[in-house]
Formats: sequence, C-alpha cells, structure tokens
Amino acid sequence: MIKVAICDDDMAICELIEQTLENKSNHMEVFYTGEELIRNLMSGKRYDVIFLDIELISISGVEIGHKIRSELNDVITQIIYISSKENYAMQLFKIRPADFLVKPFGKDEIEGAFYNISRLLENNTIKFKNGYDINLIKVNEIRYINSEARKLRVVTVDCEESFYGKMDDFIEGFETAGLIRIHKSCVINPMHISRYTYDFVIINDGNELNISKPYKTKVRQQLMNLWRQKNDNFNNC
Amino acid sequence: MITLIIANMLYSYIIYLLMNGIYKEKSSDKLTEIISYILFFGTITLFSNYESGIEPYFVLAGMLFVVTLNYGNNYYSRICITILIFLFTNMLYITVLAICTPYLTNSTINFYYAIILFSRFLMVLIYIGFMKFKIIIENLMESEKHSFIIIMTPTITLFIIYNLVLTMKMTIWLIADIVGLCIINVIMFYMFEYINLMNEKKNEDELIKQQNAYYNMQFELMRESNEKLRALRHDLKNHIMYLQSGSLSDEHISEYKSLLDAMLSNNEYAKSGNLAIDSILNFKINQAVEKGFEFKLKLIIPEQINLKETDLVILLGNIIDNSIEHCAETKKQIRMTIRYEYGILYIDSSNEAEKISMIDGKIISNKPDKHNHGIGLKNISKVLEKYNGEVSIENENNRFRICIIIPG
Repeated sequence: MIKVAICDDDMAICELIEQTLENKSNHMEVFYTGEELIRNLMSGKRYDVIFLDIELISISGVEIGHKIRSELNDVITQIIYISSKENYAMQLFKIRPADFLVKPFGKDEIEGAFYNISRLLENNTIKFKNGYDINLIKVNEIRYINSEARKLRVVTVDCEESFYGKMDDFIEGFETAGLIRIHKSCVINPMHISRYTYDFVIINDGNELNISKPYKTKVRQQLMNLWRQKNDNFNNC
Repeated sequence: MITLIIANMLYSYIIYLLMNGIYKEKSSDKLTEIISYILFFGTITLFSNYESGIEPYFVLAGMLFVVTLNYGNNYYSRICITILIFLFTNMLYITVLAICTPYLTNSTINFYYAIILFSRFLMVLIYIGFMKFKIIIENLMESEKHSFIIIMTPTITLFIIYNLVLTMKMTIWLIADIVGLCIINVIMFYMFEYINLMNEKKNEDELIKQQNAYYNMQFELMRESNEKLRALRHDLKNHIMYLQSGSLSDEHISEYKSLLDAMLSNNEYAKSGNLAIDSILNFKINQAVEKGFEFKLKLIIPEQINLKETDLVILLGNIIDNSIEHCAETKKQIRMTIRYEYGILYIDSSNEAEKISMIDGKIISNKPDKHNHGIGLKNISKVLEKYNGEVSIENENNRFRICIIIPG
C-alpha cells in the first residue's frame, strides 16, 4: 500500500487531498507545519508520496525537499509540490519533483498526479540468482546495472551487488520493468536520472554514463514515451 | 609505383577528412569505416591506369560512393557528395595534366603517376574549399533543385576543360582560360553561399521582429497587472471595512469576491517567470482566445532554460498556429503542457482535429493556403535537429497530438 504524507498549512487543501485519496491509500498522515514533517522524517519515518506545499510559513517546501534528497539521502520518496504561484526557481527542479499542483486545483488533478506515481511505485522486483540464493531487488531502488565480464553489477540506492549473468539474457526482463538500455552493457532506471543529454546521462549518485551510438535515438524515444504517458490524462480528453 | 601509392594514400586521407568535415553523423562504427577506406585505397590503386580507358573513372566514382555509405542517412545527399568530389578530383587532374603535357614529350607511366600525385596534393585546396561552404553543403542534403544547380556548374566546367585540352594546342592562353574557368566556379560557390547566408539572416531578422512584438505585449500585460494591483492595494482598506461590516449575506460575499477577482484578472495566461516562453505563449494564447478557443495550459518550467529565443518562437509559434488552423469547429480547445525535467524540455500539445478528407489515399487538407502546409512542421524539425531533439505526431480518433522532447 502506498504511504502518503500531506503537508500544507491550508487545512482545506489537506482535507481535499485526504478525501480524494481515501480509497487509494490506507496510510495517510497530515502535517500542518513543515517542522512537524521534518521531525517525522528525521526519526526515520518514510513515505512513498509527499504532497508538499512550497509556501509553508516558517520553512519552505523547497528546503524540505532539499533535506529529503541530500541530507536524508532519500531519492525514492516522490514529492508532489503544491503551489499558488506558477514560477519556479531552477533550484526546485534539482529536487526532481514528481509533479506540481497549482492552486486552485480539484480532485481530478490530484487523482491524475497520484495515478502517475502509483504506476511507478506498484512495479515489481527483479529476480537475480547467486548460486542457490535468489535475490529480489526492487526496481525503483535500482539506479543502474552494469555488466562486467560475466557478472552483472547492480547499483541500487543504498548498495552495490554482483550476480552471475549476461546482459543479453536479462535484457527482456529489464526492459519490461521500465529500465532503459543506454549501452551494450548498461541499463539505467529513468527514475534516477538527474540530467539527460543526447550523449550521456548523469545518475543521481553523480555518475556520468555515456549513451553509445546505436542507443542514442532509442533512449530519447523511450524517455519521450514515458513522459507522454504521464501527460495522457491531461492531453487526451 | 611508389608515387602512385603515396598519391592514393594522400587521396584516401583527404577523402577521410572531407567526409568527416561534411557529415556530422556517422552511420557505421569505427572499424567498418577504416576497412572501407582500406578497400577504397586498394581498389583505386589497382585501377589507376587512367590512360587505358574510362574504367578507372567509374571505379573511382563507385568507390567514393561506397565510402559515403559510412555517413549520413540519405541516399540523395550521398550521391550528390560523390558526384561533387568526383568532379573536383578530375577537374584538378585534367587541369594539371593539360598544363604539364607540353613540357614532357615522352609520356611514360611514371609521368602520369607524378601528375596524379601532384593533383591529389592539390586536393587539399578542395578540402579547404568544401569546409568553407558549409551552408551549401547543408542545403545540398535538403533541396533537390538547389543541389542540381550546384552540381551542374562544375560538371559543365569539367567538360569544357576536357574538350579544350583535347582539341586545342597547349599555350599559355589556354592554361589561363582553364584557370579562369576554375575561378568562375569558385566565385559561383561564393555567390551561392552568400545568397544562402542572406536568406538565413532575413529569416532570423523576421523571427527577432516577431519576438520583439511578443515582448512588447508581455511588457504591456505586466504593466497592466501591476497597475491593477496598485489600484486594489489603494482601496484595500475600504474593501476590508466593507467586508467586516457584518451585514453581508453569503451570496453577497461571493458576489463581492468575483468582483475582486475580475479586478485582478487580465490576459496573462502564462506566468512562469520565464520571459521568453511567457511572452510567446501569452501572445499566441490571446490570439487563440480571440478566435474563440479555450486554452488549457500546464506550464512547469524554471525561469531560465538553455534554448535560443528565436528557436522557441519557431517551436511554440508553429505548434499553436497549427492547432488553431486545424482544430475542429465543434470543440475549439487546445491543451498544452510544457515541462522541464532533468535537463529536458517537453512540449505536448493536442486538439480535436478537423476532419481530414482522403482522396486516392492522399491527405487533402481543408486549409486554404496549401502552399504553407507542412512548412511549420519542417521548421520545427529543423530546430529540433539543432538540439538533438525529437518530435512525435499522433493523429487518431480525430485527435491531433504533437510531442516534442529537447535535451538540454
């Protein structure tokens, strides 16, 4: 089940989000101040999705987002920003927000944003074998996978593991899981891209990975499709 | 013999430089490229007896074409490049041959080889020339009419030089004529380049003019909204006092609220703080709204992005113009999302498309101005090429949707 946190000093908005997602999540917490949310996060609590107001009274949503990403080192929590203004600083985009809700918004917008994220989160695990051990790794925790010699090096959010296997045997599974192949021996998780250019990507752990020639246009196309899907409910009615 | 090998090696290398200069994109990997050049070198060395007949020329042209297969993606441009390089190579060779013939009576095979070496050496000039006429080469790959003219001139020149050499006695005057012809060719290339440059500049000026109009309107909008805000602030006390008087019913309050809203509202639809994008969008959206369109905009972008303003004018202007022109009369609504994420700018726009009539499997546009049809899309692709972007167009169930992705 998806864990949701809502943080806004406007009670009416908190209530609206709560009502909308009532039957989609059974774990929802509401915070009326940013400090309260930070306290909870610091004590080790984690949420899958945080609806976060940018213009909170004493601490800004941007600062909280920054804390989550760099201090707590959490790149998995999806942040949906709530704002009444439409101009955003570049700083904000570094936090990699999943979506934005601009006041005034209704149930449709909340549902749309939530639907896109739940689709990202619901996806499953990939099975790796190490001898007789079977390892299940969550897809959204994978940053990228490199094949080196006869091993696959799986770099996840908090560790690195190696398994025997060849890229070509796994590639089908990887691609259905939503990973994108950028090189003969490398797949990346688009969720963890912090910068993309036609020639290389920078993953959110700071690693720069080259996109090899045969994959350049394909990678671009896959990113385009991903994003188009995200926009389907806005642009297809 | 050694002279021939050196000549051909030099030639292969110059062709390599030329190809890499002309084409930015390679379509095969490094190994294939090297192999093709070795093949090129081997074959032209084998067939190098230019006095025996016409075959060596065909072999050379064929091999040049084989080499071009390493680059680009369009057969038309490959053929054009092959012909051009072939023509210039032989123009040089024949000219050098013609100039040298009177000075050597016993034309041995070594003599020909020396001439080949010398003329290949002069290919460096051709290389420099090609690199100078960048715009011509680029256009060569696009417009067919254009490239026909560009190829015709050196072809005719080559024939004239060839005939002159064959039929006339070699005098200093004839050599001067031949050199003169070559100079005319170069001048012609300069002229083409100049015309193209002028054209490009004119287009750019036109875009800047448009952009200025957008900026002016944006400025006007911002000033207007500022003034409204100031007026409201001035009266704020009165408004608050009125609302606090307590004698108002709910209905009254909501009425009053909408009145205040109206006081603040204006024609500013895009308020992202990104001046370039805001001004283009506000201008275009106001145009659409005046024509009775409903415009739904979702704009999530930072205040600064790395895109030239004139390119944004082309992209956004063309997309919105297209939508306005092709929208169905029944539902005049345009939905547009512009979004920035990890260095990529995404633009997604959709509308109900007008009924497209099909005759003999061809799409017949209902647009009155048929000539301009498709030019918008062409310009969009041109801009995208510059930034390594991509466009996808979907036209299903009477709905038209265009998506653009531009890596930063």
